[in-house]
Amino acid sequence: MINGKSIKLRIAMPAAALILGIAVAVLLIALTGVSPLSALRVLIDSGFGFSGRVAPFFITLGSATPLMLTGLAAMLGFKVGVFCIAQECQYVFGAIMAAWLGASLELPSVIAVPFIILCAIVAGGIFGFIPAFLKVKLGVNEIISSIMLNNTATLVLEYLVAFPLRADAGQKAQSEVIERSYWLPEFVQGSRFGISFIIGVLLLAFFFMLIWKTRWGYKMRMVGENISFADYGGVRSSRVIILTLVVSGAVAGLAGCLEVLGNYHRIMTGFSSGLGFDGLSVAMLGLSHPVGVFIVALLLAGIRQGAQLGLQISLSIPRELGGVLIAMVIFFVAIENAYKPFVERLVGGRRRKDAREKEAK
Amino acid sequence: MEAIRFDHISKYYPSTGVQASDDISFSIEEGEIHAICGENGAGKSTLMNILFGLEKPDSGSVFIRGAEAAIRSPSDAISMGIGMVHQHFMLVDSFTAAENVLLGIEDKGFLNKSSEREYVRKLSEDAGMPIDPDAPVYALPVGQLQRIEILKMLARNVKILILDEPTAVLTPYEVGPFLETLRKLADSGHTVIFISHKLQEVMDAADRITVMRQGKVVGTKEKKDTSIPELADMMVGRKVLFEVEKKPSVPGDTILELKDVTMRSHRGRLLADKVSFSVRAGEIYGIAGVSGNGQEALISAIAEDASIESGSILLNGKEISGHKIAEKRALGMAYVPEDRMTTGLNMAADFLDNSIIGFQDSSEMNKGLFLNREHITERAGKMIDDYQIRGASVDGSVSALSGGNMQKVVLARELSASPCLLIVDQPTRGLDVGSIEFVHRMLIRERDKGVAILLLSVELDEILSLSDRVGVMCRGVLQGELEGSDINEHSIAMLMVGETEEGR
Amino acid sequence: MEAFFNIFTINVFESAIRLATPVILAALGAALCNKAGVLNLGIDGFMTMSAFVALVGSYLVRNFTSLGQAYPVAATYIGVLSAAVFGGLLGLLFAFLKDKLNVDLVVLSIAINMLAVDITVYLMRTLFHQSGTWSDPSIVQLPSIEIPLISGIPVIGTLLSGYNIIVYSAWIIAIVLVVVMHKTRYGRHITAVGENPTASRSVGINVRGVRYFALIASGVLSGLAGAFLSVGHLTLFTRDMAAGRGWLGNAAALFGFNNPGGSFLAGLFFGFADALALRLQNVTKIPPYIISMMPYVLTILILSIVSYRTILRRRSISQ
Repeated sequence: MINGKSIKLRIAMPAAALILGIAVAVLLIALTGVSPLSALRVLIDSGFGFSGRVAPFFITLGSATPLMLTGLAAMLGFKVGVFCIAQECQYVFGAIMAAWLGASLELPSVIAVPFIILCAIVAGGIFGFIPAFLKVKLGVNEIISSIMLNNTATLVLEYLVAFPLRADAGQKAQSEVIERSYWLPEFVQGSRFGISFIIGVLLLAFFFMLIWKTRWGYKMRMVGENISFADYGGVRSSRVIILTLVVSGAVAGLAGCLEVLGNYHRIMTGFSSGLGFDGLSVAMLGLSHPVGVFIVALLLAGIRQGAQLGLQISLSIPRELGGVLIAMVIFFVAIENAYKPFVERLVGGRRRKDAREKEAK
Repeated sequence: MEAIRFDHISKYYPSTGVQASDDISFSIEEGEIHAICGENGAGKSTLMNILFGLEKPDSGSVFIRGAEAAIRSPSDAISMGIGMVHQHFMLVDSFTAAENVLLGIEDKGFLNKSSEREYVRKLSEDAGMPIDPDAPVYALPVGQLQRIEILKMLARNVKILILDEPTAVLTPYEVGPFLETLRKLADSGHTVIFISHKLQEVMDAADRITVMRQGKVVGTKEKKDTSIPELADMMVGRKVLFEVEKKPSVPGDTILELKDVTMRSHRGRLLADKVSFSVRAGEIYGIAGVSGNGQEALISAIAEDASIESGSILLNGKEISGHKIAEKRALGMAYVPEDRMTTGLNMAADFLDNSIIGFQDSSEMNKGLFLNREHITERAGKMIDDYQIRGASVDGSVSALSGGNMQKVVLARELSASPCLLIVDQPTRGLDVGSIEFVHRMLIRERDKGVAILLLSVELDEILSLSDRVGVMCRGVLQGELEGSDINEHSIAMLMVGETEEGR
Repeated sequence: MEAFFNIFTINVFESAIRLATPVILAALGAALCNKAGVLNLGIDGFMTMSAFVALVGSYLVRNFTSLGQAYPVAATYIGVLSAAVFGGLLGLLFAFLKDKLNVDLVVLSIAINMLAVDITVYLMRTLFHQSGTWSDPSIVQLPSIEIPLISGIPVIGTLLSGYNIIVYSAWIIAIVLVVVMHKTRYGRHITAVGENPTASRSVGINVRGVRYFALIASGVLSGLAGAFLSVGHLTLFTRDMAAGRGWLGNAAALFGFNNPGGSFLAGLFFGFADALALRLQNVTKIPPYIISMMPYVLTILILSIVSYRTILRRRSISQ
């Protein structure tokens, strides 16, 4: 399983899904009468380019950060064989913690910021614990419980920004801006690309080491790959699952917190906008591997970015195209069995052909 | 009158390379109980699946009452009056007994629960298998579930009934009455085909017996013309029995001791009843018994984390019942589980990951916060060399290895930490002769090194050739212990069917 | 306190019953799928897309066919029909992909839900050049129908009569499903397939057929629910039209133990809470979000309790 061909195939599959997704997007662009090629060029330029007042690439790095973290969170669940989609909820509660504490604490930032981050991590962890506990101890389907939690969290946030945390009687329901000194620094003005990105990358590296180089990661992988084997070897699988999902929740909670501290500086209605599901998509497309998660997070962020800044503004193609493209890519990931044989033939094409020729002789 | 005739049936599985049926021809008479015997993998189930329409033969045909039949699906089979009761019950847990019996053949239009109930009650009483039609299936004991399965077939007017290892799930107490119901069915004109490898039951229940081996029919015998030893010979064939060279054992201190261990299943059935025995260093203690007589439960308490109702399990004098598996391993227990494909190995992982399970927390495998990859790789390489694990590489997957080499991986790992107690459960199931020899030699070598070995096997030959002492389980009770020259096929067989030494 | 009771006027009940309709339809569809063992989490997306299809269908028939020009109402009915057909096709797609390619329905649902919100807005913008919401003055709303006899009775007449056809359909479908699930072989087969497909197959039940049926039916029901949102209640389409009502339906199905009767009542109750949330706020000071949250929290609680009871039941058998 670790030979070159299967690695190639594993990478080729999401790549194929991406190409198919782009094909659908091209069809949709054709609807508007714009040349798909120039649309794609604009999309790439304004998603990954370096021109303009603030280089789009840096903006993409910034907006990839929460995707990286929620993707990492989903990935951790996958590693222990759990399809937990509570990232949205954890993300929201992390953000709520940051917005609430950030606006109400009166402490020097050296104390306040770590404290806020800690609280957000705990909040996320708690909402990782709930579905994990329900699954392991009571057998409640984690997908269902997570969805219920996600919907609840969204409503809690809307309630908070509409009432207790509401900044003013203005039209928009949003919380107070957090204390200026708690803001995390940006590397490039107006890009969102800041310290959060570094934290995200460091966490990806950290979990890469943890999963593949330590005994804790070993236990996680064994539980995810074959739970009866893990149990046989004395791994306490229930504990590993619960602990991993708590950590996963903490990571998603951190993502929400960093978005508040480093980017929005407050929370408002519609704050999360489906980031939980995005994280799941990132983990799936990124093959549950930190490097994959990193690449896919950048890719998705860039596509969104390009659709919004490029397509909509300069070509007046609705920015929703970005979302459609991402959704289609996931759709094609879901139905990968439809074209897997074809991709297999492409990847292993030469060898098969050789074999056939040998047979012919 | 002939009910079924198999005519030159052959079936080959290209994926596993097994010739499951090899030119099979024999017939089954109407109204008889016909047993089909053979070891695991002899092709009994494949043949029955062909008869029931679950598999298609590559060649050959099936004749039913003299006419060639094209059985393409279970529905075809049922419409021709052939029914099958699978080893694993196919029941809907939340439904009542009556609903399960009638599933798929309910009235069209609106359902009438009270008439359904009455119909099933009458059916079950007529067949001599009374059940409560309203009982929800999840609350019923296994014996009742089996009745429901048979009634399901009778409700479909099945005249030919196939039963796949029907007694495997029954308690010994349930077996006798069950065999009587089979006789009743046959008397009322049904043809009963039952698959079994338990010769005693076969002799008790069947009119005629067909023995299969490696996909072929060895022969069909009238019950009155045959005996258990003859059937056993037919089943085993001329398998060259490897005689293990072994010196008399030199037992040392007691390593594992069970005292009055009593266990129950979650349905409340007594699994083990005050079992006591001990295994000393430097000896192989074999546990014999027909599977399902409590051995599995004992193993789950000794080597896994099943809890016991009363009694105690001591390893080197320390109580280990109810302890975590990791603690038991730390005390020097090693365990080769019954199923190497799902439990003993992780097919999705490489050799390295497979080589350290159970040792993941030991200081030897870790260097600071990290796994000591160098050491692990070196150790894995040594395992491959020492045990001549063919086809393995340290970073290659284990799923491509042959069965024998997979078992070598498990053994190599379990023996790597020089355990004081080694538990082996069906260590040679499904292995080729060469691998069996290797495993046996390995076990003797460890015994001679002073390891206490607890051997579980349904293969009597294996017990006979390896064990220094034998305990025989029957109905959850340790029926007797044999030692030295007392260990022979006859004495074990007597204990296995429940005859105590005193009772002889 | 008086104010609290004052909000429960007949008119409020009437509108709550009406507004609960899409949730009820979604709940019935979700319950059917859960029973048959094919978890359909795409209902919310189905609804949004169907809502769009209903409005587009109505618009096209109304403006580009002679039938629509002569009978504006007929155009709307055709719009509803096309939404139902479209929903059914989505269900068919799910069933086909599950059956032929063994696709993971959860992942597929995630994709569909993401797609639904963006593709509808994208098409709305490119085809109709509207950004926030799209409506066309030519499209008429689905008419209310008074039921003869019943409509004359005070109170009951108001509560049970004067709704559009989708509301009545929801009730009729609920009743039909209750009868089918509890009184006929088909209901029993659906349950059996969901619980133990192997056992069902072994007794000759068409497992594939049942799964196809459940997914297609849930699609049709979500299609109707979507049509209700866009042409039954208002005549417009907005971004994310379902706005979580599909998920509410999923929750209601679980809350109603996946039985059609229970799901109907749970759907009615959840829909009711949803519809009342805003009004309640005025008198009780309970923020609407707290009331809207209730279905989800209750569903988690009920699932936990049920699972806990199952564990207790197993334990009691073993003693």
